[in-house]
Amino acid sequence: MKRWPVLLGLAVLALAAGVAVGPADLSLHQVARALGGNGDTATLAIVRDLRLPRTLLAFLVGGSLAVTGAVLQALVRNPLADPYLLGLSGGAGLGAVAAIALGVVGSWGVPLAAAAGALAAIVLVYRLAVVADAVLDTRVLLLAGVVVGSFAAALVGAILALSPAEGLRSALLWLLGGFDGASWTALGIFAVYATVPLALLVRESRMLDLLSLGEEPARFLGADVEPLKRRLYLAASLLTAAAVAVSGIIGFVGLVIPHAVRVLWGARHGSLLPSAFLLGGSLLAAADAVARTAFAPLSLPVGVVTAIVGVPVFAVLVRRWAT
Amino acid sequence: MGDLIFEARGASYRYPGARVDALADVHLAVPAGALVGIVGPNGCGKTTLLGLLLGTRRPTAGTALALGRPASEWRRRDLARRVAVVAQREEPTFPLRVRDAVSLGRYPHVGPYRPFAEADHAAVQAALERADALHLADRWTQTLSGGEWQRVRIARALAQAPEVLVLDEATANLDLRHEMETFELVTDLVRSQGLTGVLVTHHVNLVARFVDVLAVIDGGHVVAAGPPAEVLRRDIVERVFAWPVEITDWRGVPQIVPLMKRGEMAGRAEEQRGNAAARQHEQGAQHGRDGQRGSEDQRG
Amino acid sequence: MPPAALDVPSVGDGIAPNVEAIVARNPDLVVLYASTANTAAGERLASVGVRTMTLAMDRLEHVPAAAQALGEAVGAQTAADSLAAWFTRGLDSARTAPRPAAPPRVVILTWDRPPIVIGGGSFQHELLTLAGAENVFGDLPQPSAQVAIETIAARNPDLVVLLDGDPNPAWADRPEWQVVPAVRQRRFVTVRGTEFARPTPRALGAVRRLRTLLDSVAR
Repeated sequence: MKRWPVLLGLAVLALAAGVAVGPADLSLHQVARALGGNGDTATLAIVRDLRLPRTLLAFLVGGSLAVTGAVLQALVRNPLADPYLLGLSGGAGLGAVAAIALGVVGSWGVPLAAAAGALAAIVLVYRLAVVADAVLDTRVLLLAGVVVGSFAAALVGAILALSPAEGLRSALLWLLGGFDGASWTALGIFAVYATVPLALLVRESRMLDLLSLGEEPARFLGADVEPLKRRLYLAASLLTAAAVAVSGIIGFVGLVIPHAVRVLWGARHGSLLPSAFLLGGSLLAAADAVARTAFAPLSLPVGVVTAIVGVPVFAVLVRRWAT
Repeated sequence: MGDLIFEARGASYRYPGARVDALADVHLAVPAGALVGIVGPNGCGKTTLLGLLLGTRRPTAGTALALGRPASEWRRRDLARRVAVVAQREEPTFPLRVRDAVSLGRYPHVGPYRPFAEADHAAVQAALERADALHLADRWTQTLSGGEWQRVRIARALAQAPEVLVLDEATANLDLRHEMETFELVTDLVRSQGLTGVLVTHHVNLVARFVDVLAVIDGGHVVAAGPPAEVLRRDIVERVFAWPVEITDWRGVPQIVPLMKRGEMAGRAEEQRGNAAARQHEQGAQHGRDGQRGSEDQRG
Repeated sequence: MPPAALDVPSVGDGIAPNVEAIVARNPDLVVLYASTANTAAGERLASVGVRTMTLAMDRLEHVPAAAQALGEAVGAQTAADSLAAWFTRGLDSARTAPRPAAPPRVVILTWDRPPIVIGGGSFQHELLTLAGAENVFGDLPQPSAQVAIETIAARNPDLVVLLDGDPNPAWADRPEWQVVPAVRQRRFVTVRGTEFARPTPRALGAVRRLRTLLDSVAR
């Protein structure tokens, strides 16, 4: 299959679908006119201030999660790794729930608290995984991630059980993930922020190829393994924390998209990472369009859609790969 | 005397937390253009010694030099341009096309960003041919047999265009034909293109027929080093491998014939039993101190 | 909450309660909210010989039925019957009260991210309707539902009812919400109090308060 035409085509389709469809009953003609700046105020607002930034944000977040997943899978050499595995989801959840329980205010209070919780988890997991001589042991990293995540989840459970604050259960809905917080502001902040870790990760594509072979072979092929692992871990974690802040926790994209790309086109990171970015972005933008349209006026959590769409496709790919 | 490629001067190494040295006061020199074999029983310290010479471990005492510099001070990429290593074992986490896997050998040269030039593609192609892996070029790595995968890794090492080729038990999974082909290939590269070769192996008889220098490691020491004809003496081999042997001669190269304890031991049973018991006792003491033991045992 | 209720010691949540704490107080009767999460607690209480009853309390019509069931259980039928009759009369008169010619179109928003609105299946929808307003999400059978901001914008309510009593919520400053005119112009009606949180006899008062508030906003 020709890779780049397919991926770019999918990306264009997904972005177009995200803007074209939605719970508000707008014709394609109205949407096209609104994109050109024509139409009534309500239509303009829906198309240009809701659908457009929301779809673009979903695309960026999906791409970032897919890239992060691919990097972490190579870093810990475990195909089951995903961006939230390393304790991030637990930390983010704890941050969000604690913020609501403590009555943190401000329109960005909860997202920032979630990002702070994720960062705290990153630091803790990292400290646990650094063994003698500043060596980052990736097996310990995995275990520490699971342990820190579970501990944070337990604290979330305790706060939910004990706090009298209203709306705590709704905080959990927030964590389930979605793009209801999308705006040009959120998109702009995320786009500027995400560029740095994304660029750092893509820069290391060839080093990731080497690291996938194992640390010892990577050294013999010229990789400075220890600083490399630290850079990868920090860039991937910071990117995920930002994704959590704008969209909560959206599973599946970071786990499955990298595998799908590897099955279709191989595992060289120089092309794997950009491909994963396009495919992950397309999947999440399309999934978000489905989530807010399929059962309108009801909305589905977007993670439900990514799993329902993605798992069967993934199963087929894995079967094809195995034979 | 020419330059030394590797040199250990009184090098010792002790694993963190261990109570005894895995390597103690090792002296070894690998001259440029030589083909050197390193042999010894499981857990003797071969892998640890290689780690010191290749700079992945820093000696706890003494020095280990690679190409004239303390090995652990090399930038990995600079060293990888000159020294290629085919390690004992390597499982790829994710499948690659064989040609892509071999082209990783060019990374020390192209670095993180420079696109592959025509010369790089040509080097990959030549390496595939030399390692008898060209017909595998479009296969996925996870569909290869153990021997095929080993040849692909040898091809990757050749793609590095190294001055020094180190094979660490790299032929352990190969059948007779491919093992001989690999040794002949390395010998050819050393003899015709001036490379230096280091072969770490269990197959003492085979390696003895190729190498200029054979180093025998036991209990963390180099117990003998020199031309195979000087090193493979009955007393040394029996002591190191804790088994009765006879040494025969094949066109001037000593070859070890391990004896069966039943029926071939006439006149030396008493002496041998005592020796063997002493060796096994000594080896038992090593189990606790050599972190590499586990992997070597599995291969054994 | 009535002052008398504040003097009653708490033995935990109304859902999945702490059975041991309840048994330790040796009650004559335990009233459980009808929820599957309470089934296990009911069975355990019954198995140790504590008398239990379950009450559905999800809609306004449950209030008189619950009063009568409780009255029967504690031997206060007369009081219960009179409460039930009073409530039913009040409900009827609210239903038949004159409705404005153009009732205000309202969304009851209970959470902002994701947006959660009250649907036709909730007693809060009943309160709103009885107060003479139209719930723009009254067509949904669910008590509450997750919707997109776009859906709220498309249904374009005149007013937003907020149940947590905060007249100036932080989320209303976020850019994506400015697409909803009622939010942009802060056309909020804020109510607080348990009478808006669960169906009780005080729901009649809640309807009156809501009507007054809606009228004052409509001028």
